[in-house]
Amino acid sequence: MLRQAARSLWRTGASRSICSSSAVMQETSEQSKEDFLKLFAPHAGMLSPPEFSSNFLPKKAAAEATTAIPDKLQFNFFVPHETVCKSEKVDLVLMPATTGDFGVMPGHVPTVAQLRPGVVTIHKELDKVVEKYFVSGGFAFIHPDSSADICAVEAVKVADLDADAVRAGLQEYTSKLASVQGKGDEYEAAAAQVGVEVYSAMNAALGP
Amino acid sequence: MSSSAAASAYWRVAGMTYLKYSNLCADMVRAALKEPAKAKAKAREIIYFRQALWKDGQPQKQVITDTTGGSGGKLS
Repeated sequence: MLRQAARSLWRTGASRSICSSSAVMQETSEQSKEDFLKLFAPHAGMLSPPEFSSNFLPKKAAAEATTAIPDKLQFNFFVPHETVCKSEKVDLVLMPATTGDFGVMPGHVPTVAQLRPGVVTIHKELDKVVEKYFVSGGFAFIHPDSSADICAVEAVKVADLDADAVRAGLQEYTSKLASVQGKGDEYEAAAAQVGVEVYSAMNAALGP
Repeated sequence: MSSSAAASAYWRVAGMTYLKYSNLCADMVRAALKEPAKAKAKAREIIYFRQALWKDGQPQKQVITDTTGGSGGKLS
């Protein structure tokens, strides 16, 4: 008798193609609740309408659905010995990441980026008030609330770079790299390559 | 950051840590500054510390590491 009951259950189960006990979760919406109640009503008799489990869950903050993008980016720029920018409202920041250059405006996707030696351009007012800093490297963090942080080891105003020193340094390290490369001392070769990388970036920052 | 060709960045492959690499980059940027800013920046490069090995409650030997002279963006 039990076997027959089990078999009939299995048959109904198979016909409804229930594969597992964990049915697909569906979000309850006001609409689906109303539809169900409408279908339930003619069969209700003396029963009060059933409660939905979602009625007992904490109400999701309605504000979450309408998070407007602020019109200014909140920007922080730190260097170990100095605060370059703190909670400044800016329009756009261009940063040189190891994966390529990108610009950050309010509403940018949250990102963590490693910076390479290059120029960080801060548009305090788009194309009107622009500041350029050469950074030696560091990290940039863009948060979901349209705030961005740059933490750099050294950040100098591009105007503070000595063009002659940059050109001389670039030549020095390029020749050093050529002479050390392949000699077997990988560390020295890498250090010379770092020199070429940094001085090339400074040279590019100073412009043609 | 890593490509499939090189296992890691060239400096990592050569035995340099990120700390060393980023400090080296910073040293080079400081070396290329114009004069008034450069002198102030040089002060930031100085590493000074003194270490002593202790035995039986007495300091045995003092090792002083002092780069006040500056490395001026030189290698290692």
